[in-house]
Amino acid sequence: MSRSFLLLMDAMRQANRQLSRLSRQKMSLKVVGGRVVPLPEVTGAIGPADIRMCAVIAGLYFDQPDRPEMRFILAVDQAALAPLAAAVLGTGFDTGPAMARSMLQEFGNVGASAIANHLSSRMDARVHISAPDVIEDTLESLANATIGSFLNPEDNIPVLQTELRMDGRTYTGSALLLIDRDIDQAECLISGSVKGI
Amino acid sequence: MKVLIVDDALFMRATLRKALEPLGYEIREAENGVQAIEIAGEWSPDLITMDIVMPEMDGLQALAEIRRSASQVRVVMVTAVDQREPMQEAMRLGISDFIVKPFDENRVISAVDRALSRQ
Repeated sequence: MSRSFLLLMDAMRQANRQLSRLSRQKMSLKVVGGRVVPLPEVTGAIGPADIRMCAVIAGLYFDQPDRPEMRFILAVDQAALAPLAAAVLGTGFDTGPAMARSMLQEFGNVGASAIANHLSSRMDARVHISAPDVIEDTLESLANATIGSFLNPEDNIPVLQTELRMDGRTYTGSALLLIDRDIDQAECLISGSVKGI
Repeated sequence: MKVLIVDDALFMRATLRKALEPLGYEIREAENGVQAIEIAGEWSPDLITMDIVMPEMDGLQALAEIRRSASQVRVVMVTAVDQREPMQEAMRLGISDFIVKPFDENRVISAVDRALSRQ
């Protein structure tokens, strides 16, 4: 499972790199912790159950789009979206909710692609990602709907806890990598893919 | 000079427009491959910035279709996909440059300027 953490760390590094290259304002995105937790404990590992989060969910697959072998999830406190969009795009652009969601979607796309690119390099085969979906809900509902539908209750999940600091405020975030345990190939791929990170 | 920005993410289209519009480029946007083919056919852009992963039709399929009618248009891929197979396919389709995210605006500006100066 530590290999999944390395892939997640690299995904966050690439998303952070994109954020810092586009932003005109000083901010920091840090990984502040990492845990492997059983599915029922995911919510507690990220933050308060009732906090409203915005999550990007991208599927990674080899040849069946409707059955992804992995899912990458990047979630942030919904309150961070508007100030983050304003910081990145600056004045003169619409930084409303649709733009803010799209911005997070793009950072999730960069993170998911980083994982897919590593796997592809090791497999010497194309690893696809789905166009990322964006969902807004309470943390508890998100965990139940998006993770519970993909994994079994007894599965353990690597969770990275992140903090985004901006304008003197700190916002909660998280990154997760879910591996479909019904597909042996996915775990084998991760075992062989992280040597190059 | 006319530049068509093709990306499913509103944020990416705004970011690229913000970088290129102040330089005097006339900009139009498409959010998937199908729209890109339509606009490329009716507007005849000088250059297209093209994402790969998009709903409806991906960037490589769209580029292949656009090449049938607009074989000379310059194309700069701007994508998070950094894999051999799609990169080779893009090269085969005659792109001018391949920019992998994370990127900065200056990288895109220089790629667009360089591609158009070759005309």
